Amino acid sequence: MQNRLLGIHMIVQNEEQYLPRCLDSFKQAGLEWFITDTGSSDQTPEIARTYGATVLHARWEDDFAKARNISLPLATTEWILCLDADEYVIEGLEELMTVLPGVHKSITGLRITIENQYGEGPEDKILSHPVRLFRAHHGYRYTGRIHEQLICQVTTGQSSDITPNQSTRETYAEWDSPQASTAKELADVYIDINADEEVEPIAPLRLGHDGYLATMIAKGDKPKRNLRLIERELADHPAQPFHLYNLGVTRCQLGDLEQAAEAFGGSLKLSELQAPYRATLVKDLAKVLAALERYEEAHMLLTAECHHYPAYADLHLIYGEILERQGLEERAYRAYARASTCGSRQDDQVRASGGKAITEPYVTEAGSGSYRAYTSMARLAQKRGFEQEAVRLYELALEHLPTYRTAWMGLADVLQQQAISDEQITDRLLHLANQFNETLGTDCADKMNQLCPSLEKKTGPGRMQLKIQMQMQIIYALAGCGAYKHALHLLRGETSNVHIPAGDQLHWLLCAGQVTDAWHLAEDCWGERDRERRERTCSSSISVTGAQDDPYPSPRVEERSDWALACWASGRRLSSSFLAKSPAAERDMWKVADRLLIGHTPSVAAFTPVQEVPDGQLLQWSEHAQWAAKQMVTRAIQSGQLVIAKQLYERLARIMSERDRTEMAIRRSYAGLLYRHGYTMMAAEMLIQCMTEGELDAEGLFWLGETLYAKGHLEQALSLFEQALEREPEFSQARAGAAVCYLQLALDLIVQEQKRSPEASVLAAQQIVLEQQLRTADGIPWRTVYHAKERRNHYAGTSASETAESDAANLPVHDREG
Amino acid sequence: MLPSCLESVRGAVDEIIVVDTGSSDRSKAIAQEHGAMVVDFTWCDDFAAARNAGLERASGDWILFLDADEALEATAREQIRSWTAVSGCDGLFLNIHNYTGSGQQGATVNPVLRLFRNAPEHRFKGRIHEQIAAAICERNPEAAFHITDMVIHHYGYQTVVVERKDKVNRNLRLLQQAVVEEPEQPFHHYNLGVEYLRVGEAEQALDSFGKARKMIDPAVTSYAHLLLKYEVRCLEHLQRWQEALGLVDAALELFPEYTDLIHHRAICADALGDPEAAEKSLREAIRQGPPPAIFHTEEGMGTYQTWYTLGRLLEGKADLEGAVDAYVEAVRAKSSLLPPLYRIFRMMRVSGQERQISSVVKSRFSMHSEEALTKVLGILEQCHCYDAALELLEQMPSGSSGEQREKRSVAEAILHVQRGDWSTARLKLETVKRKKGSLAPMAARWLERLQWLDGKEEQETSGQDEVTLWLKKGSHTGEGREITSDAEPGLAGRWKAVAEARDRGVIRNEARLEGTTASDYGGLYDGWQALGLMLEGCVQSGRWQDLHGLIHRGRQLLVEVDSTTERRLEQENSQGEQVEREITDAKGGWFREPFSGASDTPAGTSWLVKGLVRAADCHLAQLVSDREQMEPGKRQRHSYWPVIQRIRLELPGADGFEG
Repeated sequence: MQNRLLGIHMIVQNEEQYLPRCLDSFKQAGLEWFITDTGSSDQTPEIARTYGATVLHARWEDDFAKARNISLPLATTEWILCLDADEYVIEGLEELMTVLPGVHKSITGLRITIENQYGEGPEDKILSHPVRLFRAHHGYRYTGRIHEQLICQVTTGQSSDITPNQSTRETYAEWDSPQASTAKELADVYIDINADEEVEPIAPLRLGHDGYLATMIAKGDKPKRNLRLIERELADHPAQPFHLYNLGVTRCQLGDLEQAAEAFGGSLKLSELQAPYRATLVKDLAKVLAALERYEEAHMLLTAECHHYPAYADLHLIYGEILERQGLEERAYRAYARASTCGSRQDDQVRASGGKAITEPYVTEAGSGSYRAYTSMARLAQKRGFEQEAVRLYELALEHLPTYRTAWMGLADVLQQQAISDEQITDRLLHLANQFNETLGTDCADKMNQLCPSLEKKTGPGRMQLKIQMQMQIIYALAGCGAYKHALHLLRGETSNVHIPAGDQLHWLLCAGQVTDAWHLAEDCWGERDRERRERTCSSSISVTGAQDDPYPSPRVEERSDWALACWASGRRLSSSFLAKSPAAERDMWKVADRLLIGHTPSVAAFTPVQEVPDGQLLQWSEHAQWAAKQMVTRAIQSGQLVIAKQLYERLARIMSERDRTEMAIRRSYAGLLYRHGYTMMAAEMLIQCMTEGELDAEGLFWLGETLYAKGHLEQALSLFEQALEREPEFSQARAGAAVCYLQLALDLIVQEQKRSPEASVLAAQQIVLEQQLRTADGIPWRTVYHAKERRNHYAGTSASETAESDAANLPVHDREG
Repeated sequence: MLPSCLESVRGAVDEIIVVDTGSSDRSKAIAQEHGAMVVDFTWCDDFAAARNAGLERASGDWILFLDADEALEATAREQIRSWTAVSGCDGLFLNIHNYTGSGQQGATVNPVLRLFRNAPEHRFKGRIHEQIAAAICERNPEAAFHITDMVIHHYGYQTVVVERKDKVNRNLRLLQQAVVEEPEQPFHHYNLGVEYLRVGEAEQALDSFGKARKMIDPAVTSYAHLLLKYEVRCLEHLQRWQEALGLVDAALELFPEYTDLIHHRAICADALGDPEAAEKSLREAIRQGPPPAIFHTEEGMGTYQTWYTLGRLLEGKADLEGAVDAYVEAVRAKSSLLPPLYRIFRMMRVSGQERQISSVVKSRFSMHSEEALTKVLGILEQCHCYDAALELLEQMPSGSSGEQREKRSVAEAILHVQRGDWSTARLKLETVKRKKGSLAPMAARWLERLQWLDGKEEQETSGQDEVTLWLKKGSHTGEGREITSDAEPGLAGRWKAVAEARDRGVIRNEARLEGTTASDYGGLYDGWQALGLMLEGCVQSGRWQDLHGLIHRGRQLLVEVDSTTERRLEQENSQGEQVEREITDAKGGWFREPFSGASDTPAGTSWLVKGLVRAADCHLAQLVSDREQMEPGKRQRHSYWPVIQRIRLELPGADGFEG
């Protein structure tokens, strides 16, 4: 028995991958289906038929609207819903079916909510509210070759010319542009049909769309096709701001950002203030300009435009990002704060109201008005030393999205900055997660649906999912801030069903000093043991992220480094399976390193060395091998295996032929590696040695200066900065450091004088101004940025360096927790 | 103050009556010398009673009353008779211009009833802020008052004068008394609030104003608008911006034409982080202009003050052109105003447009006199726009007398010193020295300093300049270095400091005997200022090492002064009253100043701070211009140059408000 209420209409071409999911999600039996196939070469039409759809065949004439319009007159239902094959229902279908019959007859069009997933994380989505639902046989039809627009040809004979105020519902396929952020936009805009610009009410239906996730799309064709169509449109209707806008979007998708900016700019000049797509246009233009590093233009654009859209959180958020780039941190903070007040009211309104209208249906990136804004504010607060405030803001962000990894990581980081013990950090994070678990209560299942739309299977009650998700974030947050032991402990906990990739686990084990466990894990995953054993151990700890074909891929370069380090740290040589799994270009390097470290014992011929190179001779390695060697040393430092790192670095450096390596030069560049990873005191000691023995280069001088500055020795720091500038006048960080030192010195002088003559009011006024300017100067990015796990290493080292100095052949750092 | 007050009314009035409430100085004599009748009155904490005593003796038809720290303006003198002759009113309002602070902030203008018909019923009421209007209206309910444009200048609240007379404390005392006696009188609370605000007690002022506000009806109370404005200012002072904004909006509903409120609205909006609204309000205030005469206003509201504030706001927006326009308007509204010039020059220097300064000055400002030009030169120097100053100087006609030419040469030389072009400076100074005019000694001193800086110390050994000697001492002896903050604490260290200082002082004494310091320009470009100018020169020429050396030396000296002062104070305390004061300036004791003014540590700190800030500014400037040289035609700046420009515009420096 046919349901007379609602019919689904879509056009397809080679969509066999998504079509089942789409059709499945509309579980309602007996909905009318019209699927217009414009020339599939795969199983699409057959699949459609198995679901009981009416399949129409049409010839593709480079005209989306024409194709869509074919099925519209054939509807026998009251309402029509237009879809794309890569969309599916998240929630609200039942509600919609109960609500629809009661919709007043004057309302002929309804909006729905679409979540466009563009990234892997649950927060990587953009929300739009296009009109997709309309009454059949009321004059609705589509127009436009591409970005086809829904218009209503009313019987009063109004012309249905395409005016600039119309908009589109075309959604975009994915592109590969690595310029990322800007390109992930959706031009799914809303329709404005009535002359007096009333906005259609919103229906409770929520769809998901992930047609352009990188992992799920065939690359490149759709944008190129779109480009062709748009250019045709522009040829027919030149200087149409709407087409120009869409041209810009397509250019983004193809990665031509300069041209995208031009197109957007052109569109902005021509578009009317009331144009419904204008807000999104401004946002897209701002993002493209930012990606092109044209910050001043973006700044001016947003200064002018933020007024027009005070409730558009995305604009304020981007404005904040640009201001931050320009060093204007206080203004950036205010911009983020404005974004946060826009809130997720759209979202709430939409869900809570059902049939109520919303006034500003912006295309917005999820969280722009809530957790993203809070997280940005927290980051700035933390930078300025307002740690308590930062904690509060991160927690606020998490209230809105308890699985937001950025916020968890930030929270752990700032807690570490406050010198809270790892134990307490862990407790605090778990406690917070528990709170979320409780407060979310019964509508948790809904929340989970929104949070992880890509999770097709619900392997348990929603609450459980949430708990697991949060645990995973907490584990990563703990590891991220350097609390490896606790992260691992949590991972091995009784209730944990969290899946963490082996590579990550390996690294954490190494960092935590549990080298024997690390070695076992590595060998289990990649070594030559029997498959069974591997399947047993690995399946519980490896999660497959995407690649379906090879469940046990070769280790990536960092994982190789970790594996090797695990071997060496537990006193073992590299196994043959290790060498087998490394690319040929690197094998020599590994062998040599292996020999250098474990000693020159000629036995233990587990493998046949291809090249026997005595130490005295210089090695000629390919670039790749050298790079891999550098990676390895870096990795060693990152995992805290300093002894190994130092030995390797020095020995390798001596025998590599690339550069003229004096002792001092070796020490200097090693110190550089240490410094960048937070071992500042250790590095400083080495740098001082270098300085006393000879000349230190500008970078080294700067680092020393920075360490002194951090300890408050302004005059010495200043002297070092200026010495660095003598060698390298363009060294901006040193120059900024010098300027800040001068200001600080001036401030100190004033403070001293205030003690002597408290009535000098002129000096008091200057003091206030100087303090303010020093705060503003925090916005200049001259300091080396350290995160929690590097901060831990600042004072590490006196004991470690002793060990390094005193070591002979006693290389391995034995795993006490073995 | 009394003489100028009495002078100002000579000829304008027929009779002068001075009520003396118990002066111990020559006030009575002065009054009599000016032909005034002196009435003695025992002070009883009641201003009204005192004035009334004078009124009793008045024989004229009209009465003008003034305070001793006021003066009638010249034009008013001529007009006063005509006004009183034609006016059928019972009272006339004049405008009082109150000068506060240094005088650069302008004046507040109040219309006040100061001229009224002489009648037995017309007597003052009120212990403080005595009023006459009430009595006039009592006698004649139909009484009418005229508002004239005659001006009275009131200097009594200028900082120095206030301190001398301790006026404020007296007022406070009287008002507190009045409030206790008549707690229902809003006027007392209001006046009390005003006094509190004057001394910066914003909380208490707010309290008083709040009480007053509750008691009045804003529609009929003449000072209601002022009360609200002051309340707003209290809230601003306490940084309670949201409340301030709320109050301003409420007040504007009652008094939409009161420009001062609109100006303050802008201030609040800006503080709350809404510069757009602030700009709107400022432009609105300008559009409305100064408020109608019935309002008590601050001079410049709706004109130059508002323009200046707008300029600062536009600077914050990085709209430098708009800012310049605003500043020009400010000067147009009040030609004696200097702070806008400071901002313009700083802005242009910071944005790399120093070369255009002289043309901007010529095109947008008209300077008719040499005096004006000299002032502008001074400002350019203070804003560190040396090239522009030199350019302007060149265009000045060369002086007629030798002395003028020498002055100019010296001025140029000092500019070159600050620019870091010491060789040019030396050339000019040599010329001046050779002429052996009155400026020759100063030139000689500077030549010594420059020699020392250049490291050519051996050439002239006649060494008379104190500063150079002091510098030499520091670089020769290693002991000087011990006198730092890391120095050994306690007595031992201090004794060392003292001993060294004494040595230095001895040299100074010798210098005193030989040299001639008695020139008109003895203090100019000397002492700490000389050090400051040398610092500037080092910064501009990139001699960082020398800069550090000079700063170090300066800091040493500050510490020396400090430690010997402490020593002397200790000594004083232990010896009771018996302290021998040596014949040196300032701190005395056995500390001989290495150069005159050395013990003025605030000044010293100030100059050192200036040097340090300039060094920072120099580095920041290079950060911004760094990349421009790399690829000509393609300007690639750091993305964070806006924050750098912001800092450079806001760093402490000369801004024209220093007294």
